[in-house]
Amino acid sequence: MNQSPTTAFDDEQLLIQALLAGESAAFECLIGRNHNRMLAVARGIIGEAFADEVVQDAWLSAIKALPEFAGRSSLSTWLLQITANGAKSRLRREKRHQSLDEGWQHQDHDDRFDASHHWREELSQWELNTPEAIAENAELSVIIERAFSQLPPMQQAVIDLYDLQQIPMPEICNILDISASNARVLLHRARSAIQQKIAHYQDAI
Amino acid sequence: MLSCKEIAQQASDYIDQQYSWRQRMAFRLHLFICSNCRRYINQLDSTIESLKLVKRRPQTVLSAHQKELARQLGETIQKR
Repeated sequence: MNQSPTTAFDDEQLLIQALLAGESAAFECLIGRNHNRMLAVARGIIGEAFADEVVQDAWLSAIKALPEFAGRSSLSTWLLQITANGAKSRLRREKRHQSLDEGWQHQDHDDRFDASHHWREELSQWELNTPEAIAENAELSVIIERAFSQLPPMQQAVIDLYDLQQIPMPEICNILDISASNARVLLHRARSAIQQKIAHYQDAI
Repeated sequence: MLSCKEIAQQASDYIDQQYSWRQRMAFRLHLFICSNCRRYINQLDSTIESLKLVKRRPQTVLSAHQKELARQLGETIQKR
């Protein structure tokens, strides 16, 4: 029976050996695990227009440098660093700082609160109120996936690196070239956007 | 006294334990008297954990573009 490309190679050393041997399953595994988050980082730094190209270049650079990969960080973090460095140098070359995440530095008007900053309405108790129950619900899984993929690029990059990859915040700030306070604002906006999508679904069941 | 809006805006910092003891006590004091904010914090916490569970599922199906990329990278390494 064929092993799923993403369940094989859990040992990073085995994965690297298989990559160096040119095993196609190893490349599919590596790409399945990392391509989308590399895209998220590239989009966050340089915007949609150049992200694909930056990630393509990052893959080529990474594969060429793989024999010298020293394992000081995980393979994933190393790939993200290469992507971020490529995106930053592309940004300098393009010399046009795109609007990466429209208005994210400004606090949006939040109509969940009244003029005295109290909740306008009582929050309802979620029917599915454990993470397991939420994640096991097929419709909610799709809603969460969609909400995640629709986040503005910088928000998606920060929540991906912090909550999913569990990379320490100082390293994330370094990868994305943002301050710690900005990173925390982006993280909270991303989480809050997903929470509101889940709440919307739960209110309707 | 923190307002509900401030609690909601700072909820991630509270969950991630970014606060000093004094800030944490101020936050907890509000949560003690406000069931809506308690509920919001729990929901945000569940959101973070459910996102982790949903996204932990491996991506088993690669797009055609990703498969082609895997093939090209494999060729690149073999040419070395």
